[in-house]
Amino acid sequence: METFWKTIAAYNAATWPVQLGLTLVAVVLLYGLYRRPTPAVRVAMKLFMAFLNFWIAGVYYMVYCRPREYHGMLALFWAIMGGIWIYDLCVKHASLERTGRHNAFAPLLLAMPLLYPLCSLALGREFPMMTMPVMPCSVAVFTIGLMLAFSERVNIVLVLFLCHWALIGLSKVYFFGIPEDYLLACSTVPALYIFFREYVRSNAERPTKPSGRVLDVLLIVVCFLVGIFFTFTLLHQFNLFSDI
Amino acid sequence: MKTKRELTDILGFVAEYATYQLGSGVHTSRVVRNARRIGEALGVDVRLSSFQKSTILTVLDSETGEAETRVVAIPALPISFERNSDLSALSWDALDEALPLDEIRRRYRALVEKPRMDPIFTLLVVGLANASFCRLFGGDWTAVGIVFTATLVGFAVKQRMTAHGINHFLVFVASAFVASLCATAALRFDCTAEIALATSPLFLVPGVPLINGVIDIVEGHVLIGVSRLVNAMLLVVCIAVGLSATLLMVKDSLL
Amino acid sequence: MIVADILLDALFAAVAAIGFGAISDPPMRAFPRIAALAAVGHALRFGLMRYAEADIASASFVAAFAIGMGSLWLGRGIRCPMTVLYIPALLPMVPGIYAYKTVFSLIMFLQSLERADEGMRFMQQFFLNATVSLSVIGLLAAGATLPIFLFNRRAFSMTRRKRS
Repeated sequence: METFWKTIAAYNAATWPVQLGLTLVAVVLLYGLYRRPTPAVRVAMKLFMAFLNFWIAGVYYMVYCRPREYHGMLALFWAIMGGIWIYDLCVKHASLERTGRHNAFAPLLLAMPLLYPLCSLALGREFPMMTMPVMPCSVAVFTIGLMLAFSERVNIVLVLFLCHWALIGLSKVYFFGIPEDYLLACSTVPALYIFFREYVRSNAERPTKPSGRVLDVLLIVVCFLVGIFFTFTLLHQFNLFSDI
Repeated sequence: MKTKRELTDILGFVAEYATYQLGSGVHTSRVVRNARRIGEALGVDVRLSSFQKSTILTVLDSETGEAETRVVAIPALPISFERNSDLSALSWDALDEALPLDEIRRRYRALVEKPRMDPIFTLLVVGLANASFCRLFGGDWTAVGIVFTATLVGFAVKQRMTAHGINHFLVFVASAFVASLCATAALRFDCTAEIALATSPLFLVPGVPLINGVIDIVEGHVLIGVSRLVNAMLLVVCIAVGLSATLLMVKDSLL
Repeated sequence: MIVADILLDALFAAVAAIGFGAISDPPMRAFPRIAALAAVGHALRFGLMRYAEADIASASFVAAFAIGMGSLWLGRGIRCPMTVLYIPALLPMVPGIYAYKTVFSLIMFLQSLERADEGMRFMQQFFLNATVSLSVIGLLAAGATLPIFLFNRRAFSMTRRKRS
């Protein structure tokens, strides 16, 4: 807990100009994707995402979070995600082809990295001991938003990696008491639901085994179970607060 | 009494029928029985013996004594119990209703074309299954949640890699590694981390070839039984390799 | 409390069997029966081990035999061969923890080649766990296959429409 916030403070104090720069690049690329989604912009965005993931792996975890236990495993985790983006680029996967749907929810997720610091401030934290736009959770939320907004065919492995990350984030709330991570968890579950429902809809004409209805029910059951898990953590969190 | 052409036709169909089943995970003696039953329905004697990669089969017209033999490669297909049941039932229908070859072939095409299990459905239920497996081994709820998402990631890796046609040994190593790597998240929390780590790659266990191998051996098809077991053991070794890669990184916190 | 434990065990075994079964693409009509078989089998093993003090190998054998008999009985109604029902139903009984410990102690043995007595300890653990996993898996397969030999006429005509 103590180390956790100390490492974050060290990271923020040392890299805030870079973080600012990366955020600006992200904004420019997003603008490009919305306005004029040329192949060049898509390639640039994928390269940027790969870079962002490697940055989290290399700089955040391997340099600044060295005092934390298991930083190596986490760095590996993010490096694999960076690798998936590179792979995505190499095989010309159809991600980042604008779909024109989900416009209501996706921009909220895309704006989330900026909401993170605000949330921290609202909780009474001070710079540098607070969440910032280029940190694992904000990057995760940003990636999910990017996929919701622009993906024709979602890279399911990447989505599930992020989903795993989000659920761990949830347990982190449970054990370390970092309420900001609720933002990530709150956004992942509906996003996951939308991804899978899209998939079920896209298969509506073909005969599938089992039928679309069974799939819908299963989807609802899974989201419901995750929801219960979520509520329990939330209740626990309230207990933590009332203890303090 | 069959003409040469009819005999070749029957042989062609039985060869496809038998190898399709062997490829989709039916144990050998059932394939032999099914193929002979189809032959019986069409009035010929079918004999076959099978290896891991190819099948030798002979169709004999007992009236004329004319026979034809062919060696057929077994296709590598995903395991499908639905086709196992349907194709077995087809052989009984052929016998009981005395179906002609064209009708059998038509029904066979229809059965083989049936949709397979939806990948997203499989993904979600496998996640739930591995999570409850973790619970069966006595894991607590945090471990169950982590195993659930770790399995989703691992299984998605397996599905995507298989779809891209990557060698299945590599697929097994990679998915076991990714699943257990995700499960190491449990180490950071106060929960039954070891059980989470142990359960996470278990969705890969090749249950069908293992049990088919045992069935084949005890039913006397020892050669193909042993080769199925060897194959299954190789896959188990691949899981172990993937898991060990993770364990080597975190072994100190598990002692 | 005993009943609740056993029922929970059965429930989780059923979910596990459905999920692991789905990988091998069974017919949709088989799922309820797969779940029922797995639930009964695993609960039986759990009960035997917890309350009758049976060891894991013999308890697994008995449970697998029960699953095999059950698949003989249930398979006929939906025209499914026995293996379609019992292979998924057996999967929740795979001794995963022993298998994991086998791998783990092998790795630890290889890490401690320099220290002889520690190495011996890991080697011993390796053999213990490997023996348990292998014999449990072997007995599971054998137990479930046994009914095929006992009732082979019936087992060979499970998918026949006409009752003989």
